[in-house]
Amino acid sequence: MRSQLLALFQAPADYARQATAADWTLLLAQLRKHGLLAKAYFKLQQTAEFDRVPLQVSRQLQSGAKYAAKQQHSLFYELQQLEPMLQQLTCPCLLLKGAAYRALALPVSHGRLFSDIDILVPASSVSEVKNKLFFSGFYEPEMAEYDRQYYLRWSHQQPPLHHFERDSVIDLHHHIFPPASARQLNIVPLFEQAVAIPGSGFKTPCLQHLFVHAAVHLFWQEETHRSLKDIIDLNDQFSALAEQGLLASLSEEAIKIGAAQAVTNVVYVLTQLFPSDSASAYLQQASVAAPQRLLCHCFINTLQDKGIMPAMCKALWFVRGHRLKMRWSILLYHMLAKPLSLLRR
Amino acid sequence: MSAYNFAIHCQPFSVAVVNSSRHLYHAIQQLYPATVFGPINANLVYDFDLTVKRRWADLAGEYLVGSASEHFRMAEQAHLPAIFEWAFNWSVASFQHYYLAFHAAVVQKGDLTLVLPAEPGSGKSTLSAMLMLQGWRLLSDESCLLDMNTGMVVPCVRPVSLKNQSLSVIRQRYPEAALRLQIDNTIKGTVGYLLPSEASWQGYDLPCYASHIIFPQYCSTQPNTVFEPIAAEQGILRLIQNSFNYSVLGAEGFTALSRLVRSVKLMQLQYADTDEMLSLMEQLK
Repeated sequence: MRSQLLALFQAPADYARQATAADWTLLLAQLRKHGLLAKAYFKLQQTAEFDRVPLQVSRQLQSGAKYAAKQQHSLFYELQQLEPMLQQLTCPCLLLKGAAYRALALPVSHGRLFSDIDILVPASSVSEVKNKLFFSGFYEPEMAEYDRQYYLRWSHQQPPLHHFERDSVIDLHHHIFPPASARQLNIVPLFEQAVAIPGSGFKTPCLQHLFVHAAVHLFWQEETHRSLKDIIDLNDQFSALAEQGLLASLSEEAIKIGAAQAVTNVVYVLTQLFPSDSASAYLQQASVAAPQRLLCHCFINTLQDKGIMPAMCKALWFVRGHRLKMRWSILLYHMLAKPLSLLRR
Repeated sequence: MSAYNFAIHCQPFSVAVVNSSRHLYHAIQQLYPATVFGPINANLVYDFDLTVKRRWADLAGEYLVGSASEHFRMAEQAHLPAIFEWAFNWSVASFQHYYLAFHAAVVQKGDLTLVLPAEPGSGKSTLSAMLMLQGWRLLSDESCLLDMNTGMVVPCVRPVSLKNQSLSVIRQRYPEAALRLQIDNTIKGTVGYLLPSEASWQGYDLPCYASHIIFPQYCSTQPNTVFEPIAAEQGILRLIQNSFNYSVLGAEGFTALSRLVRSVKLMQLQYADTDEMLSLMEQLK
């Protein structure tokens, strides 16, 4: 089955012109599954063919857009609530991912859904920030001790912090990649080049670093169910970087952080899914190493819902992702200890 | 393609169902007219998708009911029709924000359109069933959809789901009532369905302006029937409490509700005597 989603996001105007009723039905189901109704609404609305979208479909898309607008409203409300706490912090506090895209009003944030607020602080300040967050109402709900230790020892973030009254959840990060990995990324530049949000205590990473983070998040992990949404986001982010003439510095920043391979691979995947001159030109740069083509095609296969090849690629991706996030010794321990901890419960 | 796939061409929302249960197919066929129930038509767009199938290559065990995006519930074969109807309601309640939706029955006769908001399980299905059997057109027995652009109430005609004692109440009062599919031991007890009247199906895509919003409350110990106007601010708060998606729609929803409460008569109704209540409804102007 050809993905309706890819067809739509590759060429929204063509899609609106050519889609059959059965295509639209399937598209609505797939958009809901991936949380992309609102994003599709904005993409189609920007084309001259929006009036070709069947009324029924555009109402469902609008439903999604209204939901997304409500989430963004809630995000700003939540950030306002955090502002007084930020004023007391002595360390920088960066918004990551969805919250950062929204705060910067990047095109990628249009209609993008998110669930948690991701923030990044220096490792040395984690307990200070966690304590301050506690007195702003955020606590750590109970979880299995093994899972909690997994977060604290091997992951790059704290266990999720929930607000005692509101529905909000904060993921407090001290890094963008698990320290249990053999791969060591340098995130000092994220703090050094962070951009202040006018009038707020929050900062965001610069656009290049936001891209690097999203690329690491997509390419060096084991999950596949969000990959389609993530690669569509990365395409928007890449276009924004290209428009602002930041592609040369993207490769420099990726090298500085130590994530050049993930970034190159993502751009290669973009050339395959969303062909553009700027993506091809990026790969031609002297400073950019060759993409891992086999791996990239394995990734592209994981974007399909069904089929033997996609299933095999997803399994490979799962094993590879775990292997990247943890050194062999830790991964072996985890593979034995996790089932044991479940049995004991 | 399973031979038991089907579609429900309701207004304002349709659903295409990939289904492997013969039992469900025949049960649902009894609940909807032939103009609404039919095969999936590749030339139509469907708002929602649902899947009903078993695991292990569809050979044995309970059925999984859900959409492509989310699993809804497991069900044994006998309960499938009820679970299916709930799954359809769930699709509307969770994914649509085009209309402002709240828990309410809606009926219409002549110039009168009554919106009867009440929490689930408070007897509004029974109330709307009785009004329909008294000759009112049923727009919905459980969710009022308000078009925020036009201010009109949009029908969402479906079989009326009646539970437990409501079934015997309706059966006693209206022996002719078209009750179908009695399903025992569901999580909500015994469930049966009353078919919408012909006039209700005929008007399934005709929206109307509400004339009255009446907050009903059945209470068997109520000494005498109370039927009195309430203030707009109280009415709007009670509508918000009963809403599915007010929190999503925010300011737009508030504006629409303010307009609505200013354009209707707002009443509350507490009753124990059903006959008296029905005659009060018939006397409305």
